[in-house]
Amino acid sequence: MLSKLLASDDTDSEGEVSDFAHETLLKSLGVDKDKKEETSKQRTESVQEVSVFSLGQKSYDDTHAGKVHLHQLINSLEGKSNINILKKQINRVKRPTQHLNAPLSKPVAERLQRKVEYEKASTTVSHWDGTVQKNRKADHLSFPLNQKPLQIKTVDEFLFHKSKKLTPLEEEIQALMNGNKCLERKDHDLSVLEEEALTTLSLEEARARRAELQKHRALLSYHEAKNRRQNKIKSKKYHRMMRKRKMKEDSPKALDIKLADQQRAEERASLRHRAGSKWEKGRKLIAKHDEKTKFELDAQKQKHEELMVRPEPMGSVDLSAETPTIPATFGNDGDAFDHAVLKLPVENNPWLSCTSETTKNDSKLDNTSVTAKCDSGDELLCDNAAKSSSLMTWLSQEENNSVESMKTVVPAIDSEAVKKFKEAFSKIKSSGDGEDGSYDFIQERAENSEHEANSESLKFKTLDKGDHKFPNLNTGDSPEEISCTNLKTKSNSTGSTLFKPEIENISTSSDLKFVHDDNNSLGDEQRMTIEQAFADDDVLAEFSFEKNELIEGSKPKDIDLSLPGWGEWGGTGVVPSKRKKRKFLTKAKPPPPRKDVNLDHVIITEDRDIQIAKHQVHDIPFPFVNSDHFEKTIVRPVGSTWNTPSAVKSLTNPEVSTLLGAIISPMDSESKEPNKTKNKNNFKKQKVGAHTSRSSRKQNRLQKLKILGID
Amino acid sequence: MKVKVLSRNPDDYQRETKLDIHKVYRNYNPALHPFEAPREYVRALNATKLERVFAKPFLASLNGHTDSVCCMCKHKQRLNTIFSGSCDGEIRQWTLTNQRCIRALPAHTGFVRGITCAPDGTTFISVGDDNTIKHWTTDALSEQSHNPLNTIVTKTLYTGIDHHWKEPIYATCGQTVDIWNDERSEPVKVYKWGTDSVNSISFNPVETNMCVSTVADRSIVLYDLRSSIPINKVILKLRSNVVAWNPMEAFMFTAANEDHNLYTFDIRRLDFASNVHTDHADAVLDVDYAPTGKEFVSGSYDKSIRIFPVNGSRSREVYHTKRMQRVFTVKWSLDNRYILSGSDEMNIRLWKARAAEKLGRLAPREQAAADYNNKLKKKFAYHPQIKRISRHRHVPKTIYSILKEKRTIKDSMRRKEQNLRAHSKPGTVPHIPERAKHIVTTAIKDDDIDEEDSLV
Repeated sequence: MLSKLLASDDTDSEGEVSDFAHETLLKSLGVDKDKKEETSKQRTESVQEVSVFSLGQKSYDDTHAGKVHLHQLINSLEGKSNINILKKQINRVKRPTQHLNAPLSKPVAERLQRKVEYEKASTTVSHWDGTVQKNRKADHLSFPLNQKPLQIKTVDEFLFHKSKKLTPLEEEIQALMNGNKCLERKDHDLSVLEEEALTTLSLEEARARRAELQKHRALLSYHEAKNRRQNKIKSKKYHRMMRKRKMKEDSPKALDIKLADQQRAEERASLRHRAGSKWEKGRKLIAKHDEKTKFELDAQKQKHEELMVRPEPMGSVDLSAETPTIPATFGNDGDAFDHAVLKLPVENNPWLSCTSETTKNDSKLDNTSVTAKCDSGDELLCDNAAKSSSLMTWLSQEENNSVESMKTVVPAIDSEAVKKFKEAFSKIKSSGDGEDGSYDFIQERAENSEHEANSESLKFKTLDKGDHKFPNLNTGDSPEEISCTNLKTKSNSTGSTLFKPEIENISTSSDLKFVHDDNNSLGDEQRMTIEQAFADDDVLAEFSFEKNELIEGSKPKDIDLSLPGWGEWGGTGVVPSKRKKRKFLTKAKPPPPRKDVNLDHVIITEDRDIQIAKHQVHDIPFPFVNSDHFEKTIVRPVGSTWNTPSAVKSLTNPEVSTLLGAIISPMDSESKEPNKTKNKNNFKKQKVGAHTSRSSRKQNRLQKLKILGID
Repeated sequence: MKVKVLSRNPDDYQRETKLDIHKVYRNYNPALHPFEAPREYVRALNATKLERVFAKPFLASLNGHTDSVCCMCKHKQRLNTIFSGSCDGEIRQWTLTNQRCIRALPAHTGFVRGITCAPDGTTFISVGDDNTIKHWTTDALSEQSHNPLNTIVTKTLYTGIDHHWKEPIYATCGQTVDIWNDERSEPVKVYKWGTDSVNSISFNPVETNMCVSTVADRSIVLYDLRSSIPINKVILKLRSNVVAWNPMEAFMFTAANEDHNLYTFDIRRLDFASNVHTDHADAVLDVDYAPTGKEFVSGSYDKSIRIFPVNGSRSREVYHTKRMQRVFTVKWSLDNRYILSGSDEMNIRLWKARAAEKLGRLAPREQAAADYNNKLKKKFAYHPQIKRISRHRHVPKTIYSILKEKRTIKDSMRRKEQNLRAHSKPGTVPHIPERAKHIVTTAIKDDDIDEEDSLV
């Protein structure tokens, strides 16, 4: 190759040896051109002064670095024992070195430090968020905070904490309690004694006990099953029988059973006249076809209505009706049928007192109300409507008549019952006093008569077993009852007919009123005084007049813009022409219909009252969202007039209360609440504040409302 | 005609003795009480009127100073003791129970700039214009009572002082904010941020390591004793005079500003005042929180004292008297019942915190009635008549006219802004809330901007 190159050299001219050829030659020789130049810097001759710059040049051995490297030095140590360790250490040193940056300028450093410190301070302060939020929302705060609540120690605590010596009594009690086996233990279900009893029970005994218990349980279940079976039986008869039997077992007296039957019948009787009874239902079906039944039903209905009428208050009766009422009671045996007879004291009624005073003038007053109680055996019947009405007519006709005259009327009533009634009545009259237990006389004193006025009330009570005697009644079990109390008779001795009206309110629904003609002069007088007192007061007319005036006043007026004399001949007495009047008259629109058009007794003003408006809230105040909400808070009263004391106390609890004379120290780290993440979010929300949507703002408002304690 | 009347047994309704309460039988059935709301409204109206009738807040005037009172300090352990410093360098100790001065100390030459009481209540410290810090005993009867326990002569003038709420540390402010230990005569730590002098300093009563100072360059600076540098700063449009911390909320403080307003800040959000309290007619010189943290009192250069609710922007009460001049200092007593004000005309005045409140212990029935009336007033507060009566206050003509003028100015500015907004491209005139309007910037925000600039 060399010869080739040389040959190529030869081919060129001497002077013009191409550079390329020269380089390739050098390369082939392993000589670099640059090195060649460097080598030229090598010292070739010894000089006394050696330039520093020529030192440290790259050696021929190593192309990369001019310096002697450590690994080159190590090469000389080849074969030594610890060469690997040395190599590692050298490698570590050889890594590229990390330099510390130059320190920041003071302002920048402070800026960074400040930022960090500020963040740190913010977080430490944020730990108070929970506490602060809680206190802000609290309905009531009592300062100073963290007051220790007054607490009463339990006995155990007290004894436990008691450092003093125990008193002898306490010691004694403690000794007793300590050793006691019956004492309940906190950690066990059973006391010591009970546990012991359990453990001492032998097997035999336990078995016997169990068998006994089993037997008992079985018996109990049999009994239960039997009862259940019996209860399922629908037969009424069976149950009635059972009941009777049971009663017999309980109290063997047959009398009691009979009595109980009677009681039951009475009870049923009291329900007889209720509309929609079983009897009525049955009749209704037949009534379509049967006239008689229909009549019965009507009578029944009428009676029901009569019974349902509430007894009128005495005053009105006295003033309106010219006759006092005479309710009479015909009932069953009085013992069982206990009527609460309430008397309205006549003296207390201011309107009647006048009447009673006038009676005072009359020398004698025999106020007799007779109550007769007939035996249950006496079957006095005046139950059906026809008969009762006849009795009523009789009583109404019987005016200013003596009992004798009454007798004459009686035959008109072809009823055995009435006869009996009369008999009884005459008996009473003659005897004047109760002869046997069946008659009950109640003596009463008339208040304002000096003379003893004999007021005897005769109460007739009859039990009807009319299903046997009066087929037209055709009631199975329900007896009839007519009450007729306060029968008034005039006093024979004086001949004057003066009755002191007396009301007897009978508690049972059934009471019949008989209207009795009375001397009406007193009532008239009374009425006259009242009429005189209010003679000038025509309140209703006044009101209607007032209302009309108001309506007229509130109507919009026509506006007349015509000017008399304008465009026409002037002068006195000028009348604008009709045409002008028509042209310039603006007719008022009819007002919207008033709300009180159809209400005669009220005036509804729809105008805004300025005097009241001054006190009214015009806009919904801030924390409230709608008017309803606000109104509710206003309407709900807080005062003690409307609320119980405890409610008032809680409602009027002030937001902040302070202890008198106590120093309120700042918030303590003890009272720090554990911070909730919620609060943090709240804070963030507040931060965002400006961007919150409308709905969230509304929510905030609601929350605020809650905070304010308005609900 | 004889008139019959209903008769009752007197035992049912009469008291046995005059000390008994009247027996009242009530039926709470609402059907029997148809006009609850109107009746309560009338009661509320009466209560409001009576409140105005009984509103006599001024209790006493403590006179004795021979120059205007420029600073005051409450004893931290005793309710009845206060200290006051005047412009002639005199410090007086007062007993509020009998409204007497129990000692007068010629403490400094020149102004007494600040007084503060140690939390244990044994000593108080004062700074004055004579470049001294003096420690005094609070015990007026001790031998040492007329001489300071310790006097520290300083190189620079201090304008304010406040004591740490728990530890024996206090801070002074002047050219720098210095933190001192009670025992040492050299400051333990020195904070300096900028070259402007610091007007006042106040320690946080809850997070006790924090304090805040107002600086003459219109800024309020926040410090944490655990860090070596001040941690944040907010710059307002005008200078703040004093800052008071809310004693119940660790992160809230209120600054009394020269622009007639007070600004309540959350220290976590200094670029946005959480509330702006407006009503004063001149620069607000002092502010102090009620110990409940629900209200604060402020004294102003307009010769009036106002009481603001913490969460309300308008004052609920204004106190003034004809003779009271510029109010330099106000304090709210630690039992939440009284307010003290020191003013230019050398008097300290004692006021009730709630003008119509009855002083002293109330009988349970009195208390119940008062509670009920307060509740009614609150319930019907939105009704125009009640609102009008309860809000009505007489103010001196000067204040009235200034406020009127301010209102006019404010309205006109608002109108102008509205017009501007209406006639310019939407979005070009932004709505700036009142709470952000008065705040120029905060340090951290500034730093961020600077950093961004440097990155660019």
